[in-house]
Amino acid sequence: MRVIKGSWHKKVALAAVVTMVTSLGQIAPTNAASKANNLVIAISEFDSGWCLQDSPGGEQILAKNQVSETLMTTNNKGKPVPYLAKSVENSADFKTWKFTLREGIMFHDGEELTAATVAANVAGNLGLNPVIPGSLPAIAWQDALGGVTSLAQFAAKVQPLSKYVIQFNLPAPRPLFSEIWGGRSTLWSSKTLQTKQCGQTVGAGTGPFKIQSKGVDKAKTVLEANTSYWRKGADGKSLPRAKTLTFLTIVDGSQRRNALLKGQADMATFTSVGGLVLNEMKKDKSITLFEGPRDTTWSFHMNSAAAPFNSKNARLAFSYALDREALAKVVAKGNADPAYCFGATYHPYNLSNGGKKKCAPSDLAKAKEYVAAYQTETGKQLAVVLPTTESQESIKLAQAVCNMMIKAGATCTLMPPVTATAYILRGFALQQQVSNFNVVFGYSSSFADLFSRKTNLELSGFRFTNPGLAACFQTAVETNSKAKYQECVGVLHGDAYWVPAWTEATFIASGKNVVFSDGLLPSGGKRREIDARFDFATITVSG
Amino acid sequence: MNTILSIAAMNIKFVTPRGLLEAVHEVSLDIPVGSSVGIVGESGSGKTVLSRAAMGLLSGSTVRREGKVVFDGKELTTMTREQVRNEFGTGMAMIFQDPMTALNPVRRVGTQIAESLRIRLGMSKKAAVVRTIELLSLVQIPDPQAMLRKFPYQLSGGMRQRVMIAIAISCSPKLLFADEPTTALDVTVQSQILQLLSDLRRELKMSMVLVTHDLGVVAGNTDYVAVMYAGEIVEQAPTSELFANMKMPYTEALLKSIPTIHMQSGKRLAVIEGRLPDPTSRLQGCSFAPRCPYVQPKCTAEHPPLVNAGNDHLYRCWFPLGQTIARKQ
Amino acid sequence: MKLLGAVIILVRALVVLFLVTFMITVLVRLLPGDPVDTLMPFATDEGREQLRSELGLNINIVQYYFRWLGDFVRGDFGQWYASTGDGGGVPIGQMLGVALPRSLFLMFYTMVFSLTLALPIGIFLGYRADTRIDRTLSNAMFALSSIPSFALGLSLVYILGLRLDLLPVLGYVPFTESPGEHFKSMVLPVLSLSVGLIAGFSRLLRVDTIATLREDFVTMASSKGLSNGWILWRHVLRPSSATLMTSAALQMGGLIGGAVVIEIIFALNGFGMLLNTAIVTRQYLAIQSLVALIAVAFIFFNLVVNVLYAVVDPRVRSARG
Repeated sequence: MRVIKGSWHKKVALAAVVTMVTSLGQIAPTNAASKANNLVIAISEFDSGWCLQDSPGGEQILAKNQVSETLMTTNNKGKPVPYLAKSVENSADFKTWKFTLREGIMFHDGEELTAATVAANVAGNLGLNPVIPGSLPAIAWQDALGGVTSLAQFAAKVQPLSKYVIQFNLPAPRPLFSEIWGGRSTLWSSKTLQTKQCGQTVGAGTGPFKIQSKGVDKAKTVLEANTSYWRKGADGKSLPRAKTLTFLTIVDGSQRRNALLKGQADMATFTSVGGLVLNEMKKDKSITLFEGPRDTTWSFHMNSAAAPFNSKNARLAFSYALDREALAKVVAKGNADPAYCFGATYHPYNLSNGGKKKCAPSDLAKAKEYVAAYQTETGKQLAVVLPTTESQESIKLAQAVCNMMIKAGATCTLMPPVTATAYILRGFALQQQVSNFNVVFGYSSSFADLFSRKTNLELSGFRFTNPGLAACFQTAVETNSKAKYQECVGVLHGDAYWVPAWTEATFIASGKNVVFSDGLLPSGGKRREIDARFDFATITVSG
Repeated sequence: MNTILSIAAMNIKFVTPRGLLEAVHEVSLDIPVGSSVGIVGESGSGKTVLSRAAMGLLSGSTVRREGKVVFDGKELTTMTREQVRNEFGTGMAMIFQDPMTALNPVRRVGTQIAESLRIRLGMSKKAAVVRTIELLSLVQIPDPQAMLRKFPYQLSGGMRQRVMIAIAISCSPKLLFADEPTTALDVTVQSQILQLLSDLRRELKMSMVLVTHDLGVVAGNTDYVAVMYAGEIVEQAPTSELFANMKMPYTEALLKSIPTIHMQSGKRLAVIEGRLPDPTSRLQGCSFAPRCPYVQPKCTAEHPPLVNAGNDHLYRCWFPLGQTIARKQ
Repeated sequence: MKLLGAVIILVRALVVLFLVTFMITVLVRLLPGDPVDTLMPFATDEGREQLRSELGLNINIVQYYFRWLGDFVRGDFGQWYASTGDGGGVPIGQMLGVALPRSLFLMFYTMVFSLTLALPIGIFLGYRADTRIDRTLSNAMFALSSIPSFALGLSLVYILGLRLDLLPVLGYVPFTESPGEHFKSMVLPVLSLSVGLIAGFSRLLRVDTIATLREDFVTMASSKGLSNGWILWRHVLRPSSATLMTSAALQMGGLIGGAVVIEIIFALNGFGMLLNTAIVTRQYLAIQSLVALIAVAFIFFNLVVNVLYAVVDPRVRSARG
């Protein structure tokens, strides 16, 4: 064919191809240089907001806690230690608590951390001023302060004694009160509180990093170094060492691993649910995988106020029918332990021998007996309806559990999926018989207490039909007696109000470029802080 | 006599799901230089297939072609496709039956003409446009400049046929195939187009093969006529000889089926009864026998050979016209 | 006459748009559950009241629809609500500013790439219909198109991203930041989406090409002594592309909101992911505005294809007057 002279569209196409090829050819050295000390962390969770009522999961809390800090933290032995507070004193009866703040700690917006700011945060959490009603910590705070409905009541119970000292007057003894500051009750500046944003798109905390951009792209949160951060590194140099932190949401677990291998992410988080990818990474020499302690226990919570789980026979049938070994194998591919009792084995209130003896273990024969007993008791076949969220894991899990129930002779169906928030907030309003939560987080007991002691928890409708059990937990909290807790937990599990399923860890994997300057993470070693308290301030990343 | 195109013992078969379909059977035909030859037959007689095969336009995995075609001293049947293609336009060109379907509906008239000039003759864009306008004038299209930008659907049938003729003669071919060039047109336009073809043929000194079902068309426009039936040539003669001394009953039947202006109103147009034989199985006897008004027992038993009656007049019939034969009831 | 035709087409598009968006409004209102409870479980009474009025729950649906339409036309798509109610919301327009370019680029490159390959393949298969190479290639295409895009995506990640170390395995780089990195970041998702499309498009084109090749004008073109390539590209392609164009227009609309799986795997987080999140978290206003935008896209691409029909086949122009 004779070539006919090029017309304009051919020239345009040619130009486009040339542009594409040449630009593809640029092997970008620019990126390598700018990469140094810009840490990219791949997580699986989208940013649904950092307000606690948005129920952010562990990974978003991980990001949030780089911005907003708390008065207390826990040391490697699990003991609460002062953090933004310089010291904590309590009266002998555990009713009066006095926190002295570090001086000169500044929020990102220039406000200084004072006792007044702390009080304002508590007031906000309680729904007083400004009004952030019904938040999750509000329940913990209302519980600890014995109910506060007016600013006058608040002023009597939360007293800034001086610029840096704040005192809490509790109506009942609370030996573990300081733990309330160890978890999710982080502090925002007064201005942030007034916007009610709690870090939706903006927000000023005291943390090593401040918000550069977030909320508009729900899959990307960019934090930048807070150059006037109060902590210093082991070498005496200022923290944080990284210039920016980028939390990138990559839902697919294998892609998080691939991003690490490729250097597109420097660190990535995983949970036991991604068992297959975890097992692959363990063999991969270019990835360092840190496994946290297996301290997150997933449990089924029985609605003992309604049929069928108002019957002890039904609850025990469920507990015996649940094959925890299989769940740990199927769900976590060996990266989790079957759980029979409250919390991990090293949990202060865990029952001896892994709880196998005192708690109701998995036993199909016994499950069948209890299913039959339920039938005798009520004249009906045991019918279980399991709730699910939209996540694949949740549906897979519910299907696995359903099969176990059917094996034991019950019928079992799945509820249509609901959102995680709806699942948590209106579990029982949605007629759920049973819910699946990971409330026992870490070895702090405060959050778990909340669920186990409240006899009429408006939050979710959990209610113990055994008033003695509620009283038992109340005494246990007030005396902080391990023996008392174990007694209560014995009843909790013996009567199968809670049915623990498995205990899992959080994993953090890091690529070659990540340097743990302060030696916080010895190679291959375990460290308890692989969770929401993970400290990114000391980490550097080479180019 | 010099021949521009010589077809020898051509057989064309198509592979179909029903079996091998024989479209052209043992056809030999010579086209003398400068002459006009008509190929006449009903639709399905193989005349279009023959002309396309002669030109080398039949291709594909389903076509089986045998025989020899010599064009302008070159044996087309042994040449590569590219070599044959080189003869198209400049050596041979074709005008198709339906100018609506044979012109590309989505391309402008000017482009479709100039395309040949540019690719086959290597003209520049400007020269091609000038030549296109000349060609359009040559085929007597008014306002050729405006015609360049038009699309085929914007033209009348006659105009489209003129455009197609312009395309066919654009590269001054030595031989022009005209496949039913007037069938799709109004009667008045038909004669104009035929006149145009005759004029152009003389002017450009082309040879022409005029393929038609209409004996009336060949009458005034050809020097020789070949009548085809069921893939075979059944009669072949100089045009005047054929009309003066018709030998084949089939040719006679064709002639009778032509409507004339002088036809009395109310009188039915003669039609040829019956249908063409099934091309997948050749009859033992004469192919026309089942429809022939003069059929004899011998006709169905033996296949008649092509015999020469003198005066270049060939025919394929056991009992040619002019001999006394009882007409079938 | 031409102007009138264009006006009629536009009016028809507007009527369709009108009906579609009204249907969406009704459907969103029919979603089960109280939107106020779902969106702002922690809002104060005033906050809830404000949300009720913003979602038009206190007025009838027709009034609400026209109010929403007015906002939508002005480019105000509403806000992405925060559970605390006031103050925390993010304007959906802002979120679109991040998500939409990603989906548009993804769609654009996918269409350009898959059509660039599907045109020659489809034409070639049509030209060589029912030969061994046609059967082999057609079967191969069919097999390829039945691979789910995510499986293909992950295999491509493994081969091109990790093994050969040629391309980033995920993420998005804006064009303005680095054109080179931008193209690189789009290669794998575009490939993953394209394979199925190439197979589908070339099948459509193959069938129409076979039909076109039977046309007289193709024989006519051969008789002019044109090469096969020239004939296929200049004479056969355009008359054979009507079905392909219709299908491509639908795919273009579909790819904007419907590439969720690929957006998840490659962490692109474009329009599809945004819509998905909106549905999962019951962001009523966002669902309504985003679905309406998809409808606009579908109608727009259909209009474009209608115009293209006329460019490709001039007969369409005259039929429209």
